[in-house]
Amino acid sequence: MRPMVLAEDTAGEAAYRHIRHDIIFGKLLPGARLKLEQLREPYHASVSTLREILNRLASERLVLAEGQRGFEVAPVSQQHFREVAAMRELLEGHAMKESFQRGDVEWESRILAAHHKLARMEKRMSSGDRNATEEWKRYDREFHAALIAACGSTELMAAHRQIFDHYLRYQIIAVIYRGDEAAQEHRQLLDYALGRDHDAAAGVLGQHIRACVEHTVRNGLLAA
Amino acid sequence: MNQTASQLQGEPIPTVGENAYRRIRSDIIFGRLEPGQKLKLERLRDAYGASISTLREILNRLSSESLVVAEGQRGFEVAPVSVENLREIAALRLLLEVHALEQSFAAGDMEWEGRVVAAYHKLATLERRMSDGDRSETELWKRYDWEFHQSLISACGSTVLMETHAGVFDKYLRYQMIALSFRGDIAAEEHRIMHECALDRDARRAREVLVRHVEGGVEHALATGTIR
Repeated sequence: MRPMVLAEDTAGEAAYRHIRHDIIFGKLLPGARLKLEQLREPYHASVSTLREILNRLASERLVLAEGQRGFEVAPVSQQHFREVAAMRELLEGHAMKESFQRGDVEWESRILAAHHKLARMEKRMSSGDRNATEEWKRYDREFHAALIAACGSTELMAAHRQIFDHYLRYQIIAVIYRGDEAAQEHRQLLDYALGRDHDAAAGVLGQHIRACVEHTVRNGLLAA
Repeated sequence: MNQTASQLQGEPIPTVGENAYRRIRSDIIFGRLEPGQKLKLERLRDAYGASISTLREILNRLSSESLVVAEGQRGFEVAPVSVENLREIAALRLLLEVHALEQSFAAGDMEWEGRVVAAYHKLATLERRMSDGDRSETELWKRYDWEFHQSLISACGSTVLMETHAGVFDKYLRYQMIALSFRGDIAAEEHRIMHECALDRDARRAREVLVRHVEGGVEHALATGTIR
């Protein structure tokens, strides 16, 4: 938890997180116009605060700033998804290698716990229960974050978090659910992590990410 | 001249807040706002001409880039520097730049070669001046250094990669500005070799030189004793 901040501060931060979350989870659709006046009420922030929040999201490439003309939610494309996926593979592959080398028994127990929760969610998803998609995605993220948690670089983890959010957005928008195949890959990642076999894990991760991109493209879920 | 790596890539967005954001960011990277310095909203208002509420959002934004630290009730300060953080940033720069370099060398066409040659010419000219003892244009030199490295990876085909690299490069640049270490002919020679490797599409050698270049730069910066 973050420490308490000034009341006004909290409002701005809360609105920022709320809008960011709504973009990533597809509640604000790609290309949607973001009118400051209309955002004021749902996000409880002033127009001037909202303007800075949208500029901030623009520098994260989640929003498109169009100069004086206003803002819109960043569009999506196959090309961008491929770039994001390649970037995730680069950062996460490298971070896993470092993490597997440094991880201690504490780290092992963290990945076991994270995998346990994810596997439970995957079972629910697999039996047709789609009420908990956000929760499932959260556990997915937590598992992948746990795998790299011992990499020793906060800068690398921060860069990975940022790119993972973009990746997640595509997963949500394209409603990517690959079922048991992805669950299998998570299981393999866990085993390779405990066995400290980085090369094998990197192979599975590459397959995990590329299969996801291909699934999206094959099903025509994103415009070229 | 106070543009930073990531700003050179973006489109200009002419609003008061955006201008203030860019100026504060640039002042942090070029060391005009020092590591650990308290950022008082009242004082920033006079210096950057933005309102308190706008400034607060700008500082929140800079804190999500880890250039500013938010301290709850106590306000904001410029992010401190540390040896550990410099090493992390250098390692991340290398991870991204080596990967991008390989992609870029494989895909680069004649237009790309032209960009590399032009960027190298400007950098080499400034390095000669620096070498002759003229230190009046340090910021320009650093900008040309950035432009050269950026030109080498500019055919990599991924804007996501280029933008992430630009953000990391800015943080690296901040350390360079603090240490102000000029490695002279060694770094200039490494730039010359990388420029040659680009024209020969020798990614393997360029990679070796780049690793040496960044690691050498870090050790040289640390040897100045300005970063603890």
